[in-house]
Amino acid sequence: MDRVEESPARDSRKPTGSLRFLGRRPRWTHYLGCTAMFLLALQVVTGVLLLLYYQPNSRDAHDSVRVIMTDIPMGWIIRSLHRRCSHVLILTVMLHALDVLLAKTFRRKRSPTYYTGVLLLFCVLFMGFTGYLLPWDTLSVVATAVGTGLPAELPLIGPYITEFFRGGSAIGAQTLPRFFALHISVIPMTVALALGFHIVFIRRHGMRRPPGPQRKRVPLYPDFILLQAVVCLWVFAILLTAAILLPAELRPEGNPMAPAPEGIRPEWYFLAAFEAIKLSGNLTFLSSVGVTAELLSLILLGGAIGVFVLMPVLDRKGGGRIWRWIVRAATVTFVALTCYSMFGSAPEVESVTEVADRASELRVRTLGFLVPFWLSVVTLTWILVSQIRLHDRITASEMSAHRGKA
Amino acid sequence: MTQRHIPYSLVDRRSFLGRISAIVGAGFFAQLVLPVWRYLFPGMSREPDKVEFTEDMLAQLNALEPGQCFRFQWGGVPGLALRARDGELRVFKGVCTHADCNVAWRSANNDFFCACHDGRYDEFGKNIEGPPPRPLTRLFAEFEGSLEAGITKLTVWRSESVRLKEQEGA
Repeated sequence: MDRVEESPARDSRKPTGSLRFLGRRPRWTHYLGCTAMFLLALQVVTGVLLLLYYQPNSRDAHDSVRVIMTDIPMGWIIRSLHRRCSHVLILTVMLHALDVLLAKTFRRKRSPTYYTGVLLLFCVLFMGFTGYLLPWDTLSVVATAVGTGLPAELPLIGPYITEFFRGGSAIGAQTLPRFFALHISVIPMTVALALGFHIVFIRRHGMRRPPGPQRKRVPLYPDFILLQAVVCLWVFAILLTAAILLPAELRPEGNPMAPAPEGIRPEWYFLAAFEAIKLSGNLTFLSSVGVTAELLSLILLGGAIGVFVLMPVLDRKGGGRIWRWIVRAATVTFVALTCYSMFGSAPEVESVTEVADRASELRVRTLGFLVPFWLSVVTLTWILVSQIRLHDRITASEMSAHRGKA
Repeated sequence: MTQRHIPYSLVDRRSFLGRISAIVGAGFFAQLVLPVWRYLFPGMSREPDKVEFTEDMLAQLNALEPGQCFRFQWGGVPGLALRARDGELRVFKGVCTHADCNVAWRSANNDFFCACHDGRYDEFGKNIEGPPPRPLTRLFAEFEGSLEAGITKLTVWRSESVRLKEQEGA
């Protein structure tokens, strides 16, 4: 019953053994991990629903996505949700990683948590890469050809990696089942395993305490759990509204033999790497030393990834501020490259008009749903927040009662 | 009337808020159930109201000898158009009424046979042997021309009442 009390003997400087906060109310960055988990669950649900109608072969894939968008009731919302959610999930996981890097919570015994987290970030990115091909449209086929071509420059193993992903020397009908298997089976299982360990390690090694005075205790429930619920509720509500108001589009069916469309570029989370590779192509003087532009960009990318993965080894206690500045510089570079690439050129590929027309027709019909939906979201938020407020008041009065006794 | 002041509340705020949030939360999720339900049951393979024969299908139908049967697609199951030996065109849903197996027309025995549990129907679709509880479902055929001179147009309806309803609607 009494959730407030804790053993007073516990040393508050030690990280607690469970998910319990001590100190001030957690900062917003503390909600990123749990939000990412919620978004992942949403991806699983919408993904399984899409699986019911999706046909994983290059002949039917595009048409089955069209059927989901136009013929299946609510199919367009489910697919739009899955697509929009993937972007938000990747963004959330990236911010989570950035927060951890800046707060340096990866040191010493917390490094296993960090390593599993890094694996999760890679899995989420890889999930985005493999899922992008599945509708088999013009852009995704070309983007996948470019993406799978990258590792070919690596010495020795490179060509094998490329061929493994393509299922041959070039993108074709045999590529899609591979990406499908990776997207719905291999990566999700890895994610489940890594996430399990991630949570076990967090419970074992504790969470970071929010900075500030440690006098007031903020318990996990209700303050953290209920606010987290509010965050998830709003993220879901905004995602669903975005999925309804801005439905995902479907570009014309892809053809591995067709020329690449003008202004082709990958999804935003790969734009920085894409732009770095393009820019390093300008450093022609290096080719006289025997370093090709592709190899150089791979060395740069590999170096950045290596530093990111090995952060707990590189940045030991007393390491100073240098690594924090490096992280900041890398973040600024990432954002700058992404923006530069985003405003540089956009691929001009029209979406299938049938899908777009149907979506705008359905969108009008769904607007009536949004009113009761948002009403319930706001009501639920209000109730949850007043629960937290009420709990705070009870805690305060109990604490003052304690003080009075002493 | 005297007002009596109760110095305590029968329902404390915490449990009140808890209950309210459970109710509103249930309402929130209930809103999401219906769309997902509709997604799960799109009703795409529902039995059709009618099937219109194409030129190609008509050509095959006209090529039948008496005592032969033409199989066509009736929604997700086979339809059987039988040119009976008595000269009539009879159309059935080719699914056994016992356990949903597809039946076969046996020209030599002049019967429909279901191999799953050895059910037999005669050329009128009547169940005559084995476990089938009912006759084969008869479909309503509306056609122009005749079997002898060649059928020029054929529409197979789920039943005659469906056809009447659609004609009234139109």
